Amino acid sequence: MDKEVICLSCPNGCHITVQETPDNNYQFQGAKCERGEVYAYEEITDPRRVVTAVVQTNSEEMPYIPVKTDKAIPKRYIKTLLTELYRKKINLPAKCGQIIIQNFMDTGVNVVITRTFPLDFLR
Amino acid sequence: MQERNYDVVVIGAGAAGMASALKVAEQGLKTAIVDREPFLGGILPQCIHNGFGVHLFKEELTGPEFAERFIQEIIKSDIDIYLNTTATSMAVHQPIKQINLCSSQHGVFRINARAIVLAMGCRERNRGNLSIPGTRPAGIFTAGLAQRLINIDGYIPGKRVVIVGSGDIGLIMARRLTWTGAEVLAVVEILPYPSGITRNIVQCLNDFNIPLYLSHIITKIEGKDRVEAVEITPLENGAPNYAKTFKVACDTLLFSVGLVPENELTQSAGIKINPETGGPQVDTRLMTSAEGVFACGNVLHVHDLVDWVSDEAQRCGKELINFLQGKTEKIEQGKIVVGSNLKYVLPNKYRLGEANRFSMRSLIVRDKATLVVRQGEKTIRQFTLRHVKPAEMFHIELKPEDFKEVVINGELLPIEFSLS
Repeated sequence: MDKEVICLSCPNGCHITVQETPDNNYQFQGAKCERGEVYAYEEITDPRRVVTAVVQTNSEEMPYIPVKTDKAIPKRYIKTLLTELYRKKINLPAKCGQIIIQNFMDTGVNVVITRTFPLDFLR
Repeated sequence: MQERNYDVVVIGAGAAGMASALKVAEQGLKTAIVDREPFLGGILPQCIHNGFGVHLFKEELTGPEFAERFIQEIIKSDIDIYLNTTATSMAVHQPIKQINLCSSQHGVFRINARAIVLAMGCRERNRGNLSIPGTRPAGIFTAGLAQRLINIDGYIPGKRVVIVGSGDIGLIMARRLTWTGAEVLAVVEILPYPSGITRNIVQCLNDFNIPLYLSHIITKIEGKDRVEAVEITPLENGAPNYAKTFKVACDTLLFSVGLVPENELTQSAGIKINPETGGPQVDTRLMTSAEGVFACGNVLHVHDLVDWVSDEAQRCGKELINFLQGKTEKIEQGKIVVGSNLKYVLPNKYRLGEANRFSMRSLIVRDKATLVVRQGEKTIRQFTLRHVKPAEMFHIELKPEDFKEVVINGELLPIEFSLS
């Protein structure tokens, strides 16, 4: 059966048609670059997304700090990850890039802070 | 009143303000940057999603990370930073300009400067701009305000949400709200096509099965103290078909219906506004109708990508330096004529002897569009564009050899852009 995937690798948003061949392989049509095929394969077999959120801190000046997964995480883990993030409380100061969760549920994905506070840390 | 003297004062410390301030300060000019918020970065710190910096840094960053690349440079530089500081008025039609400011730290004070960069960004259109009938309950927000409440202040604005407009901020907020546990019931778009980019439709709506109603409008808001429901009506042949109106029960309504440059300060100083962009009129130096006052970023015209804001702001900084060094005080500039199917072309002047970069927006949706550039009767360049739509700004560059120096009645022959 044919499936259509819209590539999220870049703002082009190619429409890629994926066809499953009898020998359990896939054929791709419509991708403008190779990244499209890699994306379409992943989207069919194991869809992933980068997750961003804010996490509570112990600071009144900056009560929430933004975080992201450093790679795309399989979609089926997103809910569990968010629940864990919303339970967390981070002690400031914190630096952009600092890891707050390492190798989440053995996915190889870390969660990192995306904003430095206070800014003196940047000097 | 306390007075301070600078070479350059930059109003607004967002993407545009930071990039232009860095550019002028690196030439040793004494620079001040002013922002009414308590932090640097403008809107970027609240845009916690990723997708920034693909052009400028060749990697995908979140908003706060993108901002931090500039903030880091700013705090290491000699730039004086004034936060929690509002510029209230300015006098610009003289060589030394005066900017009146106030802040809790310094009180009411004045900065005297040889040049000003306007980098105040833009503001969201809201319910008042759409004239939607109904009651006036709590629970109605612009998408950017909801984004700030969630990402900076940590408040969730509602549980059952309808979003008006399919611009990128609205789409991003649909995902953000879903991830906070809220339910997004509908995105309602007046146009027959989505205003946001395709990848946001996929990753922010399709991923969560959020319905997108194209060619639909909100015809009524219900609720006494808090929003209780909205009525949604399809448009058929351009008119609402009330027979097909349906009601969605919700407690929150978000508006993502476009942005307008924030130019109250600019206008009250007597600087000319371009009605097509809502920003000041600028020449090829990105200089406004007031000598020595420059503008860049969303205060000049609303951008879709922050990368192009930074790029424009750096260019603005360079032009400002050249101006203060007297290199471009008197340059000859020709007019730009906006031809068919274009909303605007910026800047609206061109100059000889160097490359000219123009930003423009289409009025039409089309694959393989042709942009024709004419000087008088003669076609001087032609560009084929893969895909154009009103929601996506595009840029073109003309080379010095593209234009001829043709002077008629003492003026350079205008250049016309048209799209088909």
